[in-house]
Amino acid sequence: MIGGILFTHGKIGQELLRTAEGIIGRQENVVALSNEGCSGAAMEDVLGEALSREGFRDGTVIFVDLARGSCWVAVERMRRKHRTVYVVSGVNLPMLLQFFYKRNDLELPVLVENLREAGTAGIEVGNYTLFPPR
Amino acid sequence: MALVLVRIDDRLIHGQVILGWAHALHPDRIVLVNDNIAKSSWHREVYEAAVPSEIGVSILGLDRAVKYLTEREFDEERILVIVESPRNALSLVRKGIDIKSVNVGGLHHTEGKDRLLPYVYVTNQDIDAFKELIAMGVEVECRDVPTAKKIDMRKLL
Repeated sequence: MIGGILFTHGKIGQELLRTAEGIIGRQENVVALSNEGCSGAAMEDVLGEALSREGFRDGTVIFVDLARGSCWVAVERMRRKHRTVYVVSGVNLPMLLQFFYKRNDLELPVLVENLREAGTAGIEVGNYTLFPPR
Repeated sequence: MALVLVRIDDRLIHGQVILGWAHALHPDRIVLVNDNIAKSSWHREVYEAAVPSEIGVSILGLDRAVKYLTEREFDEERILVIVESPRNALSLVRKGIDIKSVNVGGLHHTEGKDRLLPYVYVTNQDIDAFKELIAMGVEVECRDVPTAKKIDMRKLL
């Protein structure tokens, strides 16, 4: 099974995961980590420890909140050592739910494209959903 | 050349620097001074990719950074300098770079460090470097983000 790591500022990842599991039920091979109080080097340690665990060795999607933020940079620095890691930024609830639905069906490179689409498609302006502007 | 900010941050280039400081100060270039990263092409590429394309980026070891900043003293470029530690900032000053003020933006907790602020934890070596910078007439101010009020390091030591 493809593993999932939410690696975010503050409690964003923890709360997203809690909410997703509240909607679709408890999930395996997923963990939420925070960069709170961490230097760049400490972030790599936290991530390295998680990636060495059972369930994250054979392919993992790491969700971060901000492209080019500290979590993103920490993952990118480690990606040379961990070739089966993909990092996707802008994590939101639709993206995370899609991950849980699809991670057993799709290969990693296809899965991450699918997640990008799901995350983007999840953003709608409510006013236009029922009555699209002409 | 105008040094719009010289920042000590052990996260180096990240959200606070790009979305916070670069957004507020509009530097033309970010100069990351770090021997280890300058040595590794992989790490250089990671940090280069962390900077949006409208801002230039140079990742240089200490000696090359000193040369770069000295040669461009009279250029118009607005430069934001990032270093990892107080010692690195002190090295730049000792080697003659005209730095009037150093921003302490993030020194995070590790075992054995003392807490000065929620985002500033220091070793004895860090304190010595700060004291030396202050003795050389350099302002040392703590601010994680540009909207924060400056906290004078002299009041914390």
